[in-house]
Formats: sequence, C-alpha cells, structure tokens
Amino acid sequence: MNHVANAAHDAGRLLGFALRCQNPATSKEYSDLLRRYEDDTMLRDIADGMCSGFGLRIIYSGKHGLIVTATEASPFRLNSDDYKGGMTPDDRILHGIIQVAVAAFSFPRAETLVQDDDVQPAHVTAASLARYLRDFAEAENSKVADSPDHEESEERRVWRAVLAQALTKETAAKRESTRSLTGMCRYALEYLEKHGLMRLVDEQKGIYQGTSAYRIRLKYHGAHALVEQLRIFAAQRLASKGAERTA
Amino acid sequence: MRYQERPDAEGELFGGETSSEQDSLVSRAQNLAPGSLEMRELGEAVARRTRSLIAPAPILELESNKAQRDFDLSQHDLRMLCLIVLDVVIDKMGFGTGATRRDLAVAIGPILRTAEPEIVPERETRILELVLQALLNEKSRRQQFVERYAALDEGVVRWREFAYRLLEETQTPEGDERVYRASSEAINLYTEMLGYNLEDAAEADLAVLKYQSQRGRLDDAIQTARQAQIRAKAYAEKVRLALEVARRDADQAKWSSEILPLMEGALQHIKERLRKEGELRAGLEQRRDQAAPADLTKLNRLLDEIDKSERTNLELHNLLITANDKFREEFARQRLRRTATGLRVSLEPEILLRWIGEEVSFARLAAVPALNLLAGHAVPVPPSLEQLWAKLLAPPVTPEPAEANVTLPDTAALASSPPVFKPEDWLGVRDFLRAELRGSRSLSELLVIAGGRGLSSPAKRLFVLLTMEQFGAADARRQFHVRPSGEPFDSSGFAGDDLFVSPPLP
Repeated sequence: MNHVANAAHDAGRLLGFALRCQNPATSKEYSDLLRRYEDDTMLRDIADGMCSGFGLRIIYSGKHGLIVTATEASPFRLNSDDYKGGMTPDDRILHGIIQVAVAAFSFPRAETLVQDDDVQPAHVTAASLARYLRDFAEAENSKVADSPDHEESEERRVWRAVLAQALTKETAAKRESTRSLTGMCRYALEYLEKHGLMRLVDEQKGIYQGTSAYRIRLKYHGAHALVEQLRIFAAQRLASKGAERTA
Repeated sequence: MRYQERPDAEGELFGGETSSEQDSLVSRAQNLAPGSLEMRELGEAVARRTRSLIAPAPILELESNKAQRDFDLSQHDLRMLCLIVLDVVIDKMGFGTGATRRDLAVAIGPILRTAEPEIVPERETRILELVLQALLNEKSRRQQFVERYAALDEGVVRWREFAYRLLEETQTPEGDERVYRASSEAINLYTEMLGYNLEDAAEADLAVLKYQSQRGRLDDAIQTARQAQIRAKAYAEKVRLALEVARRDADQAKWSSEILPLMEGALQHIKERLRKEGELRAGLEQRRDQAAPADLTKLNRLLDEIDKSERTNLELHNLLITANDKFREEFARQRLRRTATGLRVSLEPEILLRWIGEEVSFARLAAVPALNLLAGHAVPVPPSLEQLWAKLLAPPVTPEPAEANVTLPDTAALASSPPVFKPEDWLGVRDFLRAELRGSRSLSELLVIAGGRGLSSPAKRLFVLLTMEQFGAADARRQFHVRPSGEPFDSSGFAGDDLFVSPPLP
C-alpha cells in the first residue's frame, strides 16, 4: 500500500474504534491512532473527510477517544428502532424524556457539566431515575393545579396525561416490567452502558455512572443542541400563533 | 504566633473564633465609619471566618444525623472518619493522582476495627460508603455544597452564596482507574486556612519550620512540615485548576491577562520555596549524621515530609514550564473544532423542566432527535443473505403479550401457532428430491413433475425457497447444486430466472 492508502486504512481503523465507542485506555492501537490523529496531518485530513462524508461531526478528540455525533442525514443517525424495536408513539416520547432525565440527573447544573472531563458524575440507578422524573412531573402537575388562572392548551394537557400514565405504570404483581417507568429507565441505562456512555459501578445494586465520554458528548454538543431544539420549537410555535391571529 | 498555639487549640480544627477575637470584632465594628478601609478589612475578615464555619457543615451534619440511619453507628465518630479520608486523599494527591477506594479502605479499616472489634467487612464497606457519599455530596448528585451567609459590604449587610466542594472522584489519566481528590476548599479546610493567601501561608510555614528545627523541637517541626507539604499540594492544586480552566476555555485574552502573570508569580514562588527547603534539608541532613538514636527517627520523618513538599513543587514547576505550549496546542485544536463551548447549560432547569412543561407536539418532535443527541449513534449492520433466508423459513414469531393490570378471564389455552411449513411439507420435498433429482434438471421442469406427483402448494413453495437458499449457500450448508440457466420461466405459479438443479457431487 502507498502512503495515502496506509493513512486511509488507519483513518478507517480510528473511525471504527470511535463508532464502537471503545475506551482508549483499554486499547493501545486506539490510543496510538488518537495520538497520530493529532500529529499526522494526512491521517487527520482523511479521517475528517470520512467523518464529513458519513455525516458524522467530531465533537472531541483526545485521551477519552474520538467522539462523534451523527447529523440529520447520516446513516449512523440513531432512530427509534435502533434504540428499541417495536415502540409505540408514546413509548418513543417517554424514552426521549428519560434520556433527557439521565443527562439532567448526572449533570444538573452548568457548574457540574463544565467540570474537568475526568471528574465522575453522580451514581444513578433505574429506581432513583424513575423517582427523580416522577417528582418533577408531579411538581409540574401540582403547579398547574395550584394556579387557578393557568390556561392550559389541549397539547399541554395531552402531554401531561401521557406523562402521568407512564409515571404510574406498574405491573399487576407490582413487579418491574420493561413497560413500567423503572423498566424503561433501566433500559435507558443499559443502552448507554452498552454504548460506552455509562459504566456499571455495582452490578448487584444496578448502580451506573456517566463516563467521561458521556460528559464530553453533553458538554461540547448535546446540551447546546437540546437548548437549540427548545428555542426553535418555541420560535415555530410563536410564528404559528402569529399566523393564526392574522388569519 | 498562630502555628505555635495549635497544640492547645483543640476543638478549633476549622478555625473557630476565640471570644477575645469576637469582642474585638464587635468593638471595631462599633467604631468604624462605613466605606473606610478598616471597615472593608473587617468585612473581608468576617466573611472569611464565616466561610470557615460553613465549610465543615457537611461533615458535622453527617455525624449529627447518624442516629437516623438504619444501622447502629454509635461506636463511630463520622467526623473523625471524614477527616481521615481527607487526610489520606490529600496525602496521595499529586498531579492526576489521588487515593483509590482501596487506599481509603486500608486506612480506615484498622480505626473501625478498634472502635468496633466485632465489625464485619460488609459494615466497614458501608461506613466508608457513607463517608464518601457525604464528602462527595452524593445526595445532591455531586453538586457543590451551597450555603448563604451574611457579609459586611461597605458597612452594609449583604447576603452572599458560598459554593464549594470537598471531594471529587476522577478518572486517572493513565487508565481506567478511579481515584478521589480533595478540592482546594477541602485542603484549605483541612489546614485551617480557608480564605488565606496560600503563598503567604507557605512562607510562614517555612519560617516556623526553620525556627522549630533550629531549637530542636522536632515533634512540632514534623507537624509543621506536614502542614507545609499539604499546603504545597493546595497551592499546586489551585494553580493546576486555574491552568485547566483556561486551557479548557481556550480564551487567548484571559490567558495573556490572567494566567501568564499567575504562572510567573508561581514560578517565582516555587523557586524561592525550593531554595529555602533545600537549605533546610541540607541542615537537617547534617544534624542527622550526628543525631542520637532517639532523634534519628524524628529527623527522618521530618526529612520525609520536606521531600514530599519538594516533589510537589517540582511537579508544579514541570507543569508550569510546559503550560504555555500545551495551551497553544489546545487553542489551535479548539479553534478548529469546538463550537459554542462558552455557553453554559443547566440541564435540569433549562432542559428537563422545560420538556416536562412543554406540549405533546414538542415531545413527539423532539424525542427521537434527543435519543440521537444523548444516546450515541447507530452502527447499521447490513443483514447477510443467510439471515434473510433464516427469516423467510422461520416459523412466525409469537408476540410477547403485554402485561396489564386486569384479571384474566377463564379461558382455555390457545393452541400454538402453526408453522409456515408443516412437517409433511418438508417430508414431501425430501422424498420428491430423492426420487427426481438424479441428474441436472431445470427448476421449471421439476415444478411440472412436482405438480404431476401431487405435491401440495406449500410443499412446492418450500421446494422453490430451498432451491433459492441453496443457490447462495456456503459450502458447509450446500445439499445440492444450483446454477443459473440463463432462461426465464413462468409456470406453476412461479416466475423468474430459471435454474439448473443437480444432486451433490459424490
């Protein structure tokens, strides 16, 4: 192979490690490739080009790996079936908010999110996550109930109903099932663990902890993108209300 | 002098006030004009002392609430255990390292066993867990401890917030190990100097150390040397943190205006400190050569503490002389890649709470993009031909019944779902192939023969599927040979490219 082909081969290997969310601390080849990515311009250009072609955005490269996120048109974009097969529309939105809750549980405030990449966040279990989400949803419900002047749209009422139904979902025998809130939280944590974003601290007690890759993903991209998502939706809603008034 | 008073200051571990000091504060406050220099100084002193009182609150709270735990802790002083944990952590701290959980278990194990001789290992683990959780603020998900306090600002009382951490769990740079590190507040708290200038305190430490060793007060000198080496770590931690924050933010202006002068000051401070420590060590080493056996151990212990302090300062020196190059590299890297790192997002109030208060159409729109943002990416795996065939030939999947909170009616159990192909279809195809596949024949011809032999419709379908499966089958799974004939066919309800089917080679 010539020099370019060698670099392309190594860039492909590097991308393979990144897509498998491997930990560089456990692979010498990966950490060597990461070092070369910093020093070798040709390897970096090829890897960047491959990522761009695949619709992957590099959000970090360093000792915690090459961390990428898939853009809208990427074949690597995670869709609901990749996350969990056979979900109903309600399941989909609940799994979405559960993932937001995992992130907020691990890094509640800006000061916790911006800590060093090496600092390990709080421990989380499926039960504590379900309780956390339930507490917030119940607080929101009582806020609405306590406010007599509060005008609630049909859209908001439906959302609260979906949430309320999910938060109280239990099986007949009071056991945890995959469709109960705790079961869904457990699925979310296990999924993140399989993808290198959580680590299992205590298997017996089901205690998980966000990895440095999880913090980096949120700190340098995810949190800002979520804010942007809310901002765009609010702008669209405002525009559609304006259009309704004009009509 | 404050350092000489230490042995008598029991119970004032966290810098408590003496009544005479408090009286003087009151009398000073009564005589000062608002806005005067003295009033400002008084305000700063009071604020500093208030923070000193606040910082140990999590440790004190752990002890005062121990009776509410679901297991008996009456034989243990959790305050002491917290301080021992901090002591071990600080002692093990250097650049990028700290104390492992095992280090802590080894340190507090003997103390727990002395307090409770019949203690079992599980209980030891549980108590260590409790102490760590308190110091990490695990109940508030490792956020900072935050306390409001009143401060005198230009003679006016204003409320401020004191936010601090005591312990952090970090990943080591070399590998996948987790260690605990004390925050600079915890180190300050441990050395009773919250709010004091670290450089001044280090200078004072060395002066006291020199004074005590010259007068042969070796026991006191060991204590001072230990305090000095902990302060060296606190100072190194403060500088390291400032460099880390600046490197992370890659803010060129801040680096030039704040960090470069800080580095210059730090290098000067370290140079001076290394010189003084070197002189002190040389003097002590000389004395050690002529020391009586009783003093020898003490001198070695003293030299050991000075050595630790020197090591910390040398490591800090190495960090400082390479910091500028590292910053330039990081600046170039971040300038090319990162965007919007300056925006600070509080995920709980700004994202989660707003999601909960949103509308269902937002949740529908945002759920899947949120999964993509938060849960990683998909790695599409194209299915193999074998997997496709296996799927086509597999019996239908029985869906997992959803659990519901209802009592099931009294019903008879359903018969299991019939497979796509019955056993008689498989047997029919087997017999047909054994009887008819004696030489090379086309699929269309075989289908006509199958019709003549009265093969059922599902059996004919199975025969066609098996023929297609064998067409691409790996050698290990091949039972007969199939090759394309190049002709189209349309008979017996099947259409497509015709195939030649022949028995396997002997």
